[in-house]
Amino acid sequence: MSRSIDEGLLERIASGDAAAFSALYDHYGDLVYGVAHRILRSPEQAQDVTQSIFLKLWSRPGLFSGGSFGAWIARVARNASLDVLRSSAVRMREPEIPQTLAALGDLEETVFADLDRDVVVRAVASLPESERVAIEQAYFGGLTYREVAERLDTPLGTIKTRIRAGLQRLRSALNEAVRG
Amino acid sequence: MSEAERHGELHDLAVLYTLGALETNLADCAEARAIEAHLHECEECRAEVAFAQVGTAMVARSAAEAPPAELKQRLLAAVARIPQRRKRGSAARWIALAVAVAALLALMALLLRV
Repeated sequence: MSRSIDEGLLERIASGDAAAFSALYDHYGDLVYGVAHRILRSPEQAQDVTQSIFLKLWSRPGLFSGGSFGAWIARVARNASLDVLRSSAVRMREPEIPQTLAALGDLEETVFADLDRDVVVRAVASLPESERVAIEQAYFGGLTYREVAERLDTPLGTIKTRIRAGLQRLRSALNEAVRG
Repeated sequence: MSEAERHGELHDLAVLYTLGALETNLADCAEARAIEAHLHECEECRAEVAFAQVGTAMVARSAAEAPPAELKQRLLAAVARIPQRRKRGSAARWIALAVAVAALLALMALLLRV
């Protein structure tokens, strides 16, 4: 789903169009639920987080202020799930990346709009295990890089290098997938 | 610390910032605030964030999983019951305007009769 279609759906949602809400859920429900499920490991809690996020989006579609909608809602899902994991109330936060930076990420939209999910899953699965584990512990485990280093009993510098190298590999995998 | 050293340190952290691996609460994180300020003036670090954004998007997307079908039914049922703030606000504004106009017309009619 392209950026302009997302924005069109959000405008329709703002005017109370339930069909637009349904279409947005059809496209992003699996992303929000999947991120929440991966973090919380509980289908019930993941459903609660997904429901909470989409209902807030229905009543306040203006919470999204531009950039890649997929990247934004994935970040919202991560934050809300980590809040639950840390036993605080589910709440919708503003994305932490400022708007000026969100505009940098045009290629992010490609990941959510154009890439087949299987291609993405294969790219992540094919990372060297040490890089994948460091990235996933930070992203899905909600750990800081310092905590990842402690948990893996690995020097901080090594963890930084592994995370950077892994994300760089994923960026290259996107290039290859787009070139086809 | 020289400017080059400062850049090197923040460049190192830009990827971690993008992945959300700096601190538990970024709003309270001095490192995050420093990076955000630095990014406005450093093209090299912006490029670092841009590639990390793509990698982070890939990680998030890799977790995508179909939710149970009944969740959509619950959501649509809830949406049918929840009025939107903007719609309600807009309607309220129109009602207030209509009441004000009616009151003004009534006042004018009263004055003209006197």
